[in-house]
Amino acid sequence: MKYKKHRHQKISLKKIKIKKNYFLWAITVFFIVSCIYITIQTASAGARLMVLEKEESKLISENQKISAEIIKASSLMKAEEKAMEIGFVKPQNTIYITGEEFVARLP
Amino acid sequence: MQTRIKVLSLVFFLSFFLLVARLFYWQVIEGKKLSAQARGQQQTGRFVKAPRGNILASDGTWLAARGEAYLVYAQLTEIKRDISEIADILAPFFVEEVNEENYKEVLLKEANRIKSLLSRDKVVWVPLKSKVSPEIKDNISALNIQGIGFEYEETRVYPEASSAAHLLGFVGKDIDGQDQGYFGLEGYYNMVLSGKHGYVTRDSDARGIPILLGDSKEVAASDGVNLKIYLSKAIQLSLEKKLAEGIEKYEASSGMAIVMDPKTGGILAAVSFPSFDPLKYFNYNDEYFINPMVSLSFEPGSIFKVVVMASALDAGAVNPDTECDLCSGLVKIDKYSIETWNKKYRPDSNMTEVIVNSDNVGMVFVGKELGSEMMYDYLEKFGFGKLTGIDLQGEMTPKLREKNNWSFIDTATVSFGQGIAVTPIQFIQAVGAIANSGVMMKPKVVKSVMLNDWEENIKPEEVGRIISVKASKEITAMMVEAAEYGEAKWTYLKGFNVAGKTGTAQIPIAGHYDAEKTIASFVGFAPADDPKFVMLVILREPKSSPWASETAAPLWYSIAKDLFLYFNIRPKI
Repeated sequence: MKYKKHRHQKISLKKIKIKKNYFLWAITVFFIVSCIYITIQTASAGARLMVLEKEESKLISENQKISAEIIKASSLMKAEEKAMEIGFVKPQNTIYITGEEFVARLP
Repeated sequence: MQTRIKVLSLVFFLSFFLLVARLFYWQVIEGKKLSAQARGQQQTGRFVKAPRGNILASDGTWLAARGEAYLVYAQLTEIKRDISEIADILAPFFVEEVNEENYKEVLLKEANRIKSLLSRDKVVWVPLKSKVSPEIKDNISALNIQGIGFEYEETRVYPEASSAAHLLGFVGKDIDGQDQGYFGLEGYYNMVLSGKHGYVTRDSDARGIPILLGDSKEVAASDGVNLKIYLSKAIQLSLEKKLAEGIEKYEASSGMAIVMDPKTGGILAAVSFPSFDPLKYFNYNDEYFINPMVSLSFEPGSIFKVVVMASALDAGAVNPDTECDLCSGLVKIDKYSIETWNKKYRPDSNMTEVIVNSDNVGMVFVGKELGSEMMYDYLEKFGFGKLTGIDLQGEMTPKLREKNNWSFIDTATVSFGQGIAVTPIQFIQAVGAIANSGVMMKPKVVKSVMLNDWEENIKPEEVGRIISVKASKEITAMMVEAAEYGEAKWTYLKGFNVAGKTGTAQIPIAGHYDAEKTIASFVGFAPADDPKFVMLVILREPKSSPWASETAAPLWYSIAKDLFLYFNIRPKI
């Protein structure tokens, strides 16, 4: 009877040990998978970062080109040249006129 | 057996020792060098250049802006084509604006330069041409020459070409080859315009892709701030055009004009000729960069009479009705005789008539009444002999003669503007005080500093009250009379209420005055009762006539016509 009890105890200990091993294996696999996943993610994030940086510098360059166009277009000197080309002439004499005052004027 | 074990142990021991020794060599002796090499392979670092701030006119449009340019370089190890062929292809892109006669010669020279750069030994990378425009870069890029690459560079763009060059200054290189502002605003505000460069260092793999979990450091660049200045493009361009025409018409050797707001001290426009192109500063000698407005002095002549008269009125030494008891003839002081400019004498002239007729003898009387000590004190109060503190690089000041060193002849000559040197900015500041009811403002170019959405106004700075409101009104009234009835009356614009004064100064050369050469000037402000601007025009050595009334004065009124329209000043008839 005593032997039977001891054997039963031995079997349940073995079961616990097997369960423990499964658990450890699961954790190990989980960590390995996580590690691979994070490595892939960071590597692809690095590549994405590089693409974004290239895109940013392209946008900056485009922005500069547009700014250069605006700067060129804002030139008063160029505007004056264009105005002359299309026939505008600077007035030589300025005539000042005074508006008639109608308010409460008595005859 | 024992021997075998012993030999094997010895081999193991020796191997272990060699291994430890080798590791010691790598880790300790060569450790620093190897880890640096490893860092060089794994880490990439680069400067993040801070964009230089722009300089904007009062309407917010650009006077000097940052622009896009490229450095063309050659990666010598990657070049596959014949270098002579590459040099011949690139040379026409690098040669700028040359006339047809020299073109072939310049082209050949450029091709030889490129060829010599491409044939250099023991180098892998050579810069071929810097500050190349994006259009040229695109054209070269389209040729697809292996080994030729481009690197972004910042350049300066001037949409109004060489306009206001002396005010702006230019951007050149310092001894380390970095951009640096010189002269004018670029020089004075170089630090704030430059900003602060940042840097990025990070680990990267063999393809250059950043490793995010690796070591990385990033310090962001601080952009240079933008400067918004008081200058109005419309006034500036008009001033430049009219002054250039005036110099040609009156055959002057040089000329300058300044327009200032007397209420704020803001410089609305400033021009001096000869000038330079800030984009091609390297084609000019140093003397072209000197801004005469702040860095050169001149003897003011008769325009200085208004300053001395204002001092005498404020001190109570004279009043507008005081009669001159010296004005009946020339005045002799020691061995010197002082005459009027036209040798006409008006006995018992009052002070207004002294200014209207620009009477030198009358001013000797004013100087005598004021006294040398008081005159010195007033000149100092008006800012002569010291820097105005304008925000431009290169301001200088001539010294005033020591206070206890003034003889009577000094007081006499200074009273009509001879024997004293001033800078144009000092003078316009002093007349600005008269126009601003006696309160002097510090001249300023920059109105506000801006960065993205942030803008901070730079407040106008009051130097202090120089003369009383009463004295300023009296001298203004005299200047109005001088403009209307003085020797430049023929050019006066009726109804505009201009207060002005002409000045024809002889040029001192080697201890005496040149008999023929003069500096013709006109200073004035309008409308006299509520001035919107004060303007000084100076013509050096005009040949058509030596007199300011026939040169500087008509030029002043010709510019003023545009200013009246700009400020909406209407004639009162």
